[in-house]
Amino acid sequence: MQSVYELMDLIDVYAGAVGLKRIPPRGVDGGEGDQSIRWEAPYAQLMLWMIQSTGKASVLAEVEKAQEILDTLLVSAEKSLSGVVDGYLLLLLWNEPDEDLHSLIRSLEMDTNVCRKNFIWQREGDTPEARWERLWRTTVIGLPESPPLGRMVDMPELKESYKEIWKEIRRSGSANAARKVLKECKRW
Amino acid sequence: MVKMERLRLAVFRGVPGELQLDFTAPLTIIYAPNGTGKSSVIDAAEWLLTGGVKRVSDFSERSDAGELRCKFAPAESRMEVEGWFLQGEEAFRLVRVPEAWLLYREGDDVPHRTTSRDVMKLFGPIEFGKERGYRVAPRLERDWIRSTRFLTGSTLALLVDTDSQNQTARETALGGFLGVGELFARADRFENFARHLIDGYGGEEGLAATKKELARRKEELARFRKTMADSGENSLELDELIHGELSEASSVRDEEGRTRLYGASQMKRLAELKETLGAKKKRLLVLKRVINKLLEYLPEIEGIETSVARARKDQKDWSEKLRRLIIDINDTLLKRARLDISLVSRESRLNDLFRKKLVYTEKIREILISLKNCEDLLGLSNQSAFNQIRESHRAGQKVTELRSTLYSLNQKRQVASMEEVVRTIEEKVTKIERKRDQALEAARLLRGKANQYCAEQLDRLFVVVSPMFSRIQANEVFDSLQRGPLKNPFDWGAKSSSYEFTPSHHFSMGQRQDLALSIFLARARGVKGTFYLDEPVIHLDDLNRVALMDTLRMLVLESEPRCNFVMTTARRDFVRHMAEKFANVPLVNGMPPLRIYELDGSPRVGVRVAKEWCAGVG
Repeated sequence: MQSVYELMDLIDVYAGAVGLKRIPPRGVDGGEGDQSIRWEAPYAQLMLWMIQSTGKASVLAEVEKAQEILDTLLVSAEKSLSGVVDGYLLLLLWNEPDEDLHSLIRSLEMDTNVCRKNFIWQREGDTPEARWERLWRTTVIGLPESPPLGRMVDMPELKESYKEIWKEIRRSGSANAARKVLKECKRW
Repeated sequence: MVKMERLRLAVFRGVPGELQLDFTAPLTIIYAPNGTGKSSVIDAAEWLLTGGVKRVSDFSERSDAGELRCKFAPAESRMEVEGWFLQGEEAFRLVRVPEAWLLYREGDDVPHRTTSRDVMKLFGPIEFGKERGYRVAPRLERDWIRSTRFLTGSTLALLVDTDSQNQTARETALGGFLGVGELFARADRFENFARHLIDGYGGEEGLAATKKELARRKEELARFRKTMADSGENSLELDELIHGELSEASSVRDEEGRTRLYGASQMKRLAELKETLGAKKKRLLVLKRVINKLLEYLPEIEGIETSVARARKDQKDWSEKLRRLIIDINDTLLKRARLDISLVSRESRLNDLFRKKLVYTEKIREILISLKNCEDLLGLSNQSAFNQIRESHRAGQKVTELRSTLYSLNQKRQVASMEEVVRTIEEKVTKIERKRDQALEAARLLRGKANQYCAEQLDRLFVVVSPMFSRIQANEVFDSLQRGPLKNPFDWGAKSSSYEFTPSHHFSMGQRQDLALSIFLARARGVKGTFYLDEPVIHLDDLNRVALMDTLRMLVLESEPRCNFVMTTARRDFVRHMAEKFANVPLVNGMPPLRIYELDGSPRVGVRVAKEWCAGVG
């Protein structure tokens, strides 16, 4: 469970970066139960669904259920706002799936019915970002900061002998600088 | 960080009239069917920011204004591109005409004519090492702006084609956007210097041939030295003695010269003496002849002496007779007078003869003395000549000895000359090799530093690129992206299970475009400012295109005021879908998140904005 909190914190950061805010679950009556957590913004909703089962069929059943709930929420949101509200379903598996489940995961991730669906499970890693690497496949959330790239690198300090060559290259160009050395050699 | 807020282009490329577009929204989409001037807008921005349009000028530094001018525009119309920019809080306007840039700062009525370097400074990267006086080449700044701000077909190829033919161009462009373009450029120049140095020497073959020649001469020298050492010469002593012996040889030569000169003068003197002797001999002969002649007179003298004796006896007799005759003086006076006269004349003649004899005797003595002197002198001269000859012979021997010494010295001199040749060749080869090695080492250092920095930057960048790529790739094929090895970090690839994939060989066209977009957009977040994407969705499938829309929306929402994007597309469904996606997106920094332009027309009939609308809440 500890790891789920880590995931939720991570989603808070990267969903928050694009205006998605975590909202408390509506409870069993609201259809969500305690299996899901949602983040929403006027333009999109992201639902994290914790899959309890492990078998292919039961996983599929759970996905359909989660999708149905999200669909209801999206329709409701679209009614209150005029326009499309995108839905994103993030399906949490407690363990890394076996090969059999992989094919189901692939087909569900390619399926655009109702919403984009992405499976997530924890992996080995030094940071939360690395442990929840599959979170990045969710297209709605933000990304880690890009490194600042707006400047050029400082020139490394060169030896005096290299500087002399460089001075000559800069003054007369590579070819002429080389010719000058050759001329000196021929003078001997 | 400079953001473009508005762009106006006139008589440019496919736009014969004027077109003005607002880029204040974080995302601006320019939609138009092909041939309606979409790319002309991107080209205009490139011309304004860099002074050239790469795809038009075929990668040369400056685009030909004639090529950029719209062919269908009236002759009197003026080609011009104008941009309104925001740099922090400061606004400025830049106008590009074929011959110049004109810069209007806020509140300026009169523009400042601006150089390309100043323009590059406005839009280029922060220069490095200003305190050390380094300046980035304008070409590099231009490349940096181009590769960082514009995503076109050529940029896409550079980003994903990792084949070796493309490597140098990629290194330059990608090094540029990571801020190490100058390092790569300098490394190239060092390498060019090394190449020209070796080429100028006849290539590696020429250098190898000189080294071979050097080895041959060294061997020859060693052989020669050994030969000399075998003949008893001490090469070390030889080296030391060369100078001294050469000067000794010189003095011996001088001495020889002097001796020869002295011998010659002595020989001359001998010849003179011989001549004098000849003359003396001749004179002696004359004297001998005179003596002989005188000797011929001797009987006469003896006769005279006898006559004198007889006359004396007669005188005695006659004196007796006189005495006897005295008595008969008278008778005999006459006779006696006559006899006195006769006696006087005879005595006088006798005295003359005596005097003559004495004179001749003296002369003979003198001649004999002179003859003896001459003989003595002749003897002395012969001795002197002999001595001179002997001396000359000695000098000859000395000359022979000196010649032998000279021969030896010549050998030593030959050694010295060979050593000089070897030293000269060695110094020449060493200098060229040293300079070549220094240049290559400097290039290696610069390239190493650049690659190291690129690797570090790419490691950080790929933290963003990799998830961005994976989210655009709906059909999960690759687990992750990774940069290339340290020696070529731009040789990036993908991993799936334990397999490795190269974009240029294993990626589909769509995957390549996904990768290029991921790199470009991830980098854009780190650079900030305005970015221009020409037809970025052309090869993407439906799902990936939707993923890209989400990514663009994400970039807009997280952008704050740091980035804005201008993109073109010929796909109406994409535009419609984007409008839907952004319908409920709130204002970003007070601006609608998406502005869409629909262009209509053609270069022949003119291009106009047919429709302009914004998507988003409010």
